[in-house]
Amino acid sequence: MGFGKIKKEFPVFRKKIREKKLIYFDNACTVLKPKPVIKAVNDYYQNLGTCSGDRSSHHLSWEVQELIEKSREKVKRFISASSAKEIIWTRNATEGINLVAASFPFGAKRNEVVLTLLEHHSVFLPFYEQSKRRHFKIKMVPPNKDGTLDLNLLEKAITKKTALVSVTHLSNVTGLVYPVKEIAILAHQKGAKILVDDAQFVASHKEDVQKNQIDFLVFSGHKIGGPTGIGVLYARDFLLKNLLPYNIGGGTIQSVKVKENKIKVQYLPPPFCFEAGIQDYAGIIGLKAAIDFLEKQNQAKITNFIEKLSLYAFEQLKNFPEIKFLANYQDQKPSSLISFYFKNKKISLYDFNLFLNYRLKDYFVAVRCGHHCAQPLHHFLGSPVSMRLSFFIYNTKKEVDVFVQSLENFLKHKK
Amino acid sequence: MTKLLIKTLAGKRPLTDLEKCMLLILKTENNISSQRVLKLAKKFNICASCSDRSEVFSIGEKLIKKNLVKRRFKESEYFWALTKKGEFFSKKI
Repeated sequence: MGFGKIKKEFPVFRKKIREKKLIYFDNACTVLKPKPVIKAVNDYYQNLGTCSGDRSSHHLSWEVQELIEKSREKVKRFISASSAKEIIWTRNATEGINLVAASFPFGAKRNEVVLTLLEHHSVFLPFYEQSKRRHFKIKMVPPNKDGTLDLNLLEKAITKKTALVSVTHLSNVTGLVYPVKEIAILAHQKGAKILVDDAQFVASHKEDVQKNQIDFLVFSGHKIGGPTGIGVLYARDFLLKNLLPYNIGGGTIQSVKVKENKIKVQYLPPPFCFEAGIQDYAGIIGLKAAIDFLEKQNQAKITNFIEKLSLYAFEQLKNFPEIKFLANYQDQKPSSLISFYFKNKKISLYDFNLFLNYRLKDYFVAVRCGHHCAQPLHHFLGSPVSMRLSFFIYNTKKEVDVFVQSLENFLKHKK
Repeated sequence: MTKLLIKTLAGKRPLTDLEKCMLLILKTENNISSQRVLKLAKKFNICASCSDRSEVFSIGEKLIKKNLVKRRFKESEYFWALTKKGEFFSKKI
């Protein structure tokens, strides 16, 4: 187990926070950036800094275009898509979901979307808003109280009226992995499509969209150590062609003609018709560097390490009678994060958060405390907020021990 | 309302809504626990946060640096209070 001196690859760890060492357990929010990503972004601005060659026609722009298409090819292989044309650049996972919610061609007879209560606000809200504008219906499927999904319940919710099923692959609250392949099969049996939120999954697990029969998938670059502001929407080739235009403008059209006050537009084929305006070239190039970095560490090894560390954290924390987990990690192993709250409502998670930041002698521990943009799920599970520890390859058992010791010390202060 | 300015590395700037929120809460009830801060935050429109409720405490930390707010730790709880400078600012909100 372990990645030895991997911390040296992440310059932020050189920084002391008020003379204290950083322990970073907020990886579900964003993963820290390794040197190769920083270098790739810097190299673009330092040595290129121009438009891509699909706009301009000079040597620098051709170089940029080559890097962009290499990145697209890299993402294709990263998630095992069948073609690079199925990869669309977005700002983040949220924008990808907004694109699908606004562009999916609902029919008169297929006008329902099935969502689970596990979903992030970034899934709920785009579908909620578009359901009002585009007049489709949303059906909600709650999880079990142990955080798992009841596939029988989901199967009943999916009918011949279902156009789309949207589900997270790894919840940012429960930390459990959900069976997207089985859900995809259920959706396809009824003629519906599936959208998978992979924002949490791809940082720690290998995705295979073909094997899992996924129709649409989104993820954010920054959650795998890439730059902020770049994300990916994957959509199967034949589905992309049926999506309605979304963000349109420069770079999306074959031709625009105006004749006798009539506008005639011919859009480019996907993915370009969805990528309007100057793209985040530095972000796209940085995203490739992040994937290269993950692959260099060996993705199977990453999965094994993060799962074991998550389980280790649970094994240590389960000894505290004062806390309640947001999923049953005894029966379902946490995959990259664990969330909990204090049973005694008089003990504040926010105070423990401050304690981790300001009261430890040698360490500054960064965790996430709040509803993690999943208020419906928190209310369902019985607490408006929780504390989340999420792991990446630079975390260690020793760091988990520091956290556990800190919790013990914090609770000791309570009379 | 008087324009309240605080010094930052980038020069002086007006207080943000969340900064005003924390001062307003402590103006209403001074020397209170974090839990009480959150309860009172629900009463003020300017406390409406776009992402998470913990923001009010991040803002509290900022205000500590600006010597407008202080906090102390007692029996696993943090208590928040206005400094003299904070009292002066809060009166103008």
